[in-house]
Amino acid sequence: MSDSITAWLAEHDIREVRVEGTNLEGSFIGKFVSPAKFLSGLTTGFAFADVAFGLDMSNNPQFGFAMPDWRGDLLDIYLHVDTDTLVEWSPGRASVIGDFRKPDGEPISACPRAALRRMTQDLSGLGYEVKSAVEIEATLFEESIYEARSKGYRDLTPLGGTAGSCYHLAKSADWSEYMRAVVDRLVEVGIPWEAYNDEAAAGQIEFNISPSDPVSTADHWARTRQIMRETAFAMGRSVTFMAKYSNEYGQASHLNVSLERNGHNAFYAEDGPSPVMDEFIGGVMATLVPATSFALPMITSYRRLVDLDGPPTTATWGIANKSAAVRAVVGHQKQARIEYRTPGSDSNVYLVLAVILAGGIAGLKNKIAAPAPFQDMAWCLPEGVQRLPDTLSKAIAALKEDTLLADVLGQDLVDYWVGTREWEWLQFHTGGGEPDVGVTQWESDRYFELP
Amino acid sequence: MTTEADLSGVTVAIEDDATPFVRTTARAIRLALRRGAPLTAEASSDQRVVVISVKGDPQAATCVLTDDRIEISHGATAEPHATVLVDGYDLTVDEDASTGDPSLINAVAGLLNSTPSEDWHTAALEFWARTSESPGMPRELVLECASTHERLVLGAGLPTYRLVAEGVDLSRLCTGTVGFLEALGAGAVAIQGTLPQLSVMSGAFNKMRFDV
Repeated sequence: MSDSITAWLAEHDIREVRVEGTNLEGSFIGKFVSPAKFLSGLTTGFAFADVAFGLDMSNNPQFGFAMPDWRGDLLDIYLHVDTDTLVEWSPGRASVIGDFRKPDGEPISACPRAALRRMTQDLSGLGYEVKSAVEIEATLFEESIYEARSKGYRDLTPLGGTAGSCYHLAKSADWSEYMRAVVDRLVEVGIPWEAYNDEAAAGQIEFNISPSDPVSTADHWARTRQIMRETAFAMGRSVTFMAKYSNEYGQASHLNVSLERNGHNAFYAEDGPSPVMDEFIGGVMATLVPATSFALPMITSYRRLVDLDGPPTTATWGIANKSAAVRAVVGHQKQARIEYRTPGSDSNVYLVLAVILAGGIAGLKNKIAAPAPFQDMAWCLPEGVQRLPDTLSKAIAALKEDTLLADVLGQDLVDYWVGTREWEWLQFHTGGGEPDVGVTQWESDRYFELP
Repeated sequence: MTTEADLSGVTVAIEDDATPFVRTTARAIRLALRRGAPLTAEASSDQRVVVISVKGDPQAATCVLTDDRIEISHGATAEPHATVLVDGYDLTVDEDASTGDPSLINAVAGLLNSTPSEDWHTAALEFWARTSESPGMPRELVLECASTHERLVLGAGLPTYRLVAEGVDLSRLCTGTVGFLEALGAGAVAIQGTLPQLSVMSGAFNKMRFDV
């Protein structure tokens, strides 16, 4: 393989390779290495300090919890690249994505990509191949990132105008120029896309990436966001993936999942969910509330959860019901799937996909029947229907009480995640954030550019 | 509301999903009541409302005091009987910067800044009893008074962890009066152990400070 990669590097005149991974927060991290270093690292991996998985987005070490054996006094962990993801990113620069492992080659428990791969393999062991797709939402601004920083990420001008709501084509040309530039880059890098459109809030857009296997879906998500950021920078614009950057509508990262068996959609039945889909939904619903902090990982994530604004607020699922947390699409041989609607645009797609699959696996293995589908609008309901946790601290508490999700996903990953989320909660409250005043400066500073 | 009736007969209740500041305020008041600090007549004559705010920081809590109950919730309510400003490090009340009913300010200061009655040994033993079983905790914790070099060894075996500070700082740490990382940043404590242990110890001291 090394010979063919050597030839590929030469053929494309590659002068540097960006080795990339996604950490637990969902940030795209990496290093730039020479072609020679890249080739030597194909077997050894590329060393990173373990704090790549231990710093918050304000660059402070996350403390307050027990650490696994791969954390130490700044131990090395190793990024092992997946050469199937090697692409020419730009003239002279290649890009390749990998997983983080311990020195002995075992994946670190907190590596989201490794966790997703493990869930996919577990389903493969049950006889299913997973098909998934991600919807990426973001908000674009006329200002450059330099201007955005100088303004504290406040009072920015949405790109394309402020008239109307979603789907409008009457956008100023700068909006189209940006979107076309992103599309051109996606095509150059080989990311299959399906559609994009104006979304609900001013400056907000949605990008639909084509269905794929889960790890590829998440890889495409990470790279598409990187392209959107690089393109914005090149054009003197800025973009944010904050779940809510102002009091406008928030932004999501809906995930679509189905299972295939022997090339056929295992979720399909003529008149509703198939038995497989029913059990998959049963597991997803049994783990929906404990999984909330994965889907809504930041302080700001919870500001999205407003009845009638679009995001789900209750632990419900329904057929063709977009007000529920899980929408089931049924009766179509090709399109039968679930749409997991809780995640914010600030969530880590590797991690949330792994969590959805873990819930599904729990449902299939334990033969958990889905509760009755919710028939009504799932907003503004009287008491009696469980609401999703509406703060990070409530979501953490729900996860700590859970065993079903942890049994499949792994207790080490869950414990580490809980520790980092408790840190996030504490930093917000003791570091300048306020719970009752809308999006705070603390949140803008922390989340506008990352993850 | 989460409530805890104290031997003093005063119930301290905090709202559900309480903020860290509400939690540490409740901790300080409960500790003061356990030490015998009175809920003075001035504070308890009728329902009295006090806002406690951190200087230079948006953290705030509203305390509603009656003769046998203190309810604490986050944020600053409008038109309190007193607004008490505290230092976020250790809740020291700045009486000069506080406003409103002076006797109420004084009463709240007495609750938030009660003088430690137990020595650092007693505080450390309580800390160890409450945290030693938490995941990742060292098997042996050595606390050492910086000036006298007096040592207290809690637990036994490896791994071990060592904390060195003045006795009063050890007491304040072990009761949650000050935060561990903040005390470390202020140079009030020195430590010997691994970085993962620093994380675990930080969590243990958070348990004392915020009851999490």
